[in-house]
Amino acid sequence: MPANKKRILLILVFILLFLGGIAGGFFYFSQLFGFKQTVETVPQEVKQGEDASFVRVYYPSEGRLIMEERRVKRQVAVTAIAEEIVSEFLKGPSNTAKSAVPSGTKLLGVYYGSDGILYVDLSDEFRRNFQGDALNEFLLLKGLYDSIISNVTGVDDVKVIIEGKEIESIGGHFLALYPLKNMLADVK
Amino acid sequence: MAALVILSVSGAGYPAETKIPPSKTGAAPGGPATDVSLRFSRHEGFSRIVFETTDEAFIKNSTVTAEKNLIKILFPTSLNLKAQGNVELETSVKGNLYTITVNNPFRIKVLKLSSPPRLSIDVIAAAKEEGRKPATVEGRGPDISPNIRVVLDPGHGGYEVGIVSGDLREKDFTFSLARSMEAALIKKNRTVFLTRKADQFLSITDRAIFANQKSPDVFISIHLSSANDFVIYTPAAEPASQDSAGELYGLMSRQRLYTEKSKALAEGLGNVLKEEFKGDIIFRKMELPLLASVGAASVMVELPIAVASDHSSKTKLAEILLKGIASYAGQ
Repeated sequence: MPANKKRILLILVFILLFLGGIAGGFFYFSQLFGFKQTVETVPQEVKQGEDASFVRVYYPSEGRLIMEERRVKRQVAVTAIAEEIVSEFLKGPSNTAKSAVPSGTKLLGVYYGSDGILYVDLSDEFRRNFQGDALNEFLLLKGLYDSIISNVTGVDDVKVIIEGKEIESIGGHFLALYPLKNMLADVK
Repeated sequence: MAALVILSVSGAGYPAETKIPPSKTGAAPGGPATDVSLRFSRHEGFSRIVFETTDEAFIKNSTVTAEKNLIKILFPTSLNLKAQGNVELETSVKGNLYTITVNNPFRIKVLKLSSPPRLSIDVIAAAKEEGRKPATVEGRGPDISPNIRVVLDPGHGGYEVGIVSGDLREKDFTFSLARSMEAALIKKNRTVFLTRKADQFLSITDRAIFANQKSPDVFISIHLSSANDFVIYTPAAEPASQDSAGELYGLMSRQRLYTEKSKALAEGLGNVLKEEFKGDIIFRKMELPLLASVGAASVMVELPIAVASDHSSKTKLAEILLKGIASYAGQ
């Protein structure tokens, strides 16, 4: 074999060994340091056949509370169930043209305290876009409270916070500084 | 949000609603002169003079007094005044004392505001304001006993607008109605207080504290209703029992000794409203924190938007609500 051909063959062998080393090294270190491909799960509407449950949501409407059954994704954690319910509550009732739930309100978070109180953090629209009298404010808070309490076990009381902060009142008639249960005694 | 302090004093023989600490007349101005810009504007029935500076303490520590035909404004330091436009009043400055001479009967309204710090003084022509008072209130219907103390609470205020319907804004209407009732009561030399005296936000707690400080016999919170009927709320607090004495020290349970009186006041108001407006009156018991916190006969009256939207109804409403108070107080 001519010397030139031997040299070319050796160079090819070196290149192959080098590439093989890189591939092997990547495989070894990726296992060692846990490099994994991240897969984002996109929240989806509950589809037919998917694991779902029905919840009862209470909406303020024309001076009273109306109950609607809503199909939501089945959840296990208290906060996850509460998030599903509050999200449905904020959508408003399906059968009335004008929702008494303040428009544009977003759910910012739900926190479950060791005291059994569920803290519902809503965007400022909940306060800013509220339009109503004392009964409207009462029904808005009672609808939110009843929707959570009747669906989530283990929650003793509900407290509304706005943009992560306590505020005195949503509409100027009731105090939001305290959990809702005692405030929402039945109207006589 | 601008902080707001409201003081109101009367001059030329009119009784003072709030007393201002007497000025230390003749006190030597302390420290260097403060730059103050001065604005004057004339409005229907009153003139407004505004002192604006960058020093919050300067405004905070200034005092305003009204004596006979003089308004004296004592500042903590002497002034370096820059007037914007003409001041159409007789004024003089001597050191830290600014004096305004007013030849006609007047009363003043003083506001201390922040952002930017400023002192606003409204010089209100007394004769003109009296002309706006509802003449029908005086000398008609049952009178309110002279020893009855009334606190009126105009609902909402400031950024809390309340119900909006067309041009009607709840915070403005409730304030305007409360002012009409206040004017009628003052004219009869009755003791009346308003929880807010301007378009300002006031928390529920602050309203309750203010009301309790005035030891009223009657407390009425004025609001609008989304419904077509008048709604009168009474506190849902249960009457005090012997074992609940300890709870009475808490603000939220002050109402417990007054539930029967609140019910009687609601009936008194409801009867006159029904008589005048021929509509249904809805009586509702509700755990409203403001009513539960006031140690007096307390109700919240919600007026229908349709009635409030009628510009001629304000005087009539003021008269009727005062008749309702008189009806309760006469029992």
